[in-house]
Amino acid sequence: MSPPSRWDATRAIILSVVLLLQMLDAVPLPELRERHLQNPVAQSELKRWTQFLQSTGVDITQDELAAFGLRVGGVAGAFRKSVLRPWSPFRRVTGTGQDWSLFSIPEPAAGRLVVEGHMADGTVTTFYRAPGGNGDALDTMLEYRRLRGVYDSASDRPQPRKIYRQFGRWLSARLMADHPDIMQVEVRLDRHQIRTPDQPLSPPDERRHARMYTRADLELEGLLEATP
Amino acid sequence: MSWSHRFRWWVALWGRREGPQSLAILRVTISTILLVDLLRMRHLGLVQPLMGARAAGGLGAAELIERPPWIIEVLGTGAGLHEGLWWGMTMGCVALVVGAVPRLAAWVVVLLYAQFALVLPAADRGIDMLLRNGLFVLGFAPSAATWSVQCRIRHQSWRAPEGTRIVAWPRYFLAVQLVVVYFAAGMSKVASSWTPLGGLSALFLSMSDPHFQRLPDAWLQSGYRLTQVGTLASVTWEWLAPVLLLAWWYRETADRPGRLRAWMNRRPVVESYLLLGACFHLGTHLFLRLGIFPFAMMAFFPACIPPTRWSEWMGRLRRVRG
Repeated sequence: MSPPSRWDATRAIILSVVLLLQMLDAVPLPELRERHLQNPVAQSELKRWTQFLQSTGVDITQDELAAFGLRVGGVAGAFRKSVLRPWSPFRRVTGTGQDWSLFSIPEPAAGRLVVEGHMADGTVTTFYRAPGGNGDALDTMLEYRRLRGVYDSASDRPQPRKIYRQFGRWLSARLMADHPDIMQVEVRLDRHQIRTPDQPLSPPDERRHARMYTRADLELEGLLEATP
Repeated sequence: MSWSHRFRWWVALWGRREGPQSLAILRVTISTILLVDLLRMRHLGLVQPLMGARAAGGLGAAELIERPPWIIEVLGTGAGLHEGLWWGMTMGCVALVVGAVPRLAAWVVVLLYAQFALVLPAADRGIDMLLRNGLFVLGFAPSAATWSVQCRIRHQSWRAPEGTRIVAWPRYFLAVQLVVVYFAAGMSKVASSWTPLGGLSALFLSMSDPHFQRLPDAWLQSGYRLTQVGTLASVTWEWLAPVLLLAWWYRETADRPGRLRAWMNRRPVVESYLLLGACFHLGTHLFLRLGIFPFAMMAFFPACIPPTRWSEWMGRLRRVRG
């Protein structure tokens, strides 16, 4: 094998460094924080793993397992952050990265988007209730992956982010523009408990994150043209 | 083998050259997926809400954060922002699909795509990051050496002249990217629902989530056992992703002894893994509303197929068609 040229060697070194950094970014280190453990799903996971470890003879309590996870998570997170910090401006500019926790924790307590219109004649009409199924323009729009990302991110939160309110205002204005007989729109993210067939029946959905938007308010904010 | 010999092998690996077909296919698949997504956004009337500033009716509030994205300084907070972002990305994708100024186009798309992610982070998913990673690599790659406008201008033919060779490292990079995505995704699945401990219920839970659900509840309940098998199969398939690296290593060192090496070299391990992956992704597309996710993942599959393989398959296809 002939000796490599300087350019070949430089290219190989650059690519190796990039590859190493990407690998470090991709390694699924358990970056656990206190707030993660407050989630009911995390609590039930913790209980389940503690019971499993105890059944295999490991003498550990739920609190000890949580403390261990937090300790390891803290060290792992700090290490990764410190190594990757010099590259973060570059990652911000290019939007590249290696966070691949895809569907890692499916939620048994999911959200269900419900959009209801309070009509001028006093009736209430459900315009959308996930998973939809009407195949109409509203369904298609709300099921578009990027828009779903906007409201779905509020599903597992005790308090939704600010964007959820903005989403509700925007959606209500759009719905009212198409239906002049709607006076108010209610946007909710009901809590839907998923049960497997071997568990008791699912309880009814629980109303959550309900926000009401009136035509008058949206007109005042300039999101909707004033009705003649 | 000495360290100096290993280093030379490593340098030679990244300097290898090969036919331009695989990279051209990657250029087309990756940019087509993004182009379709952008056209869909326009068709649904979501360009303004998703790409616009709050002042122009957008859902995001990037102009109000401490360090606003540079695109706001350049295009302002009016309609120019969302129209500029959309047209810039769309034109970049079109240029990539047809293979005109591909490097510049890839860079334009990556930079604008990253700005879009900052304008409305909630609308940016994991798959968008993967597409940006792919486009970033294409920004350094001679991806339009064949089947492109660039090739047509240079050689008066859409197809590159026989014997055209380009650097192979961008394809290697994207192939490793695919392995990393699957393996890291598999390792991240720490929830007990992905294991027998939680009844292998993960796929059932995902398929029953109203925001992703395609099938009625009754169907899902009656097919619970199948979803358990699916959960086990999908997570095992992801954990097995490094087998691709092993298969490539064994092909590289085919002259060395070893029964496993010989066994794997006799079988189309990589192709079988990808075929299973395609079934897995098409299955998730049928049973879950995942948007472009399954297709964007499959857009990276050509990275695992060397150009010689494409020529072989095309030759076979031509023979079949007579």
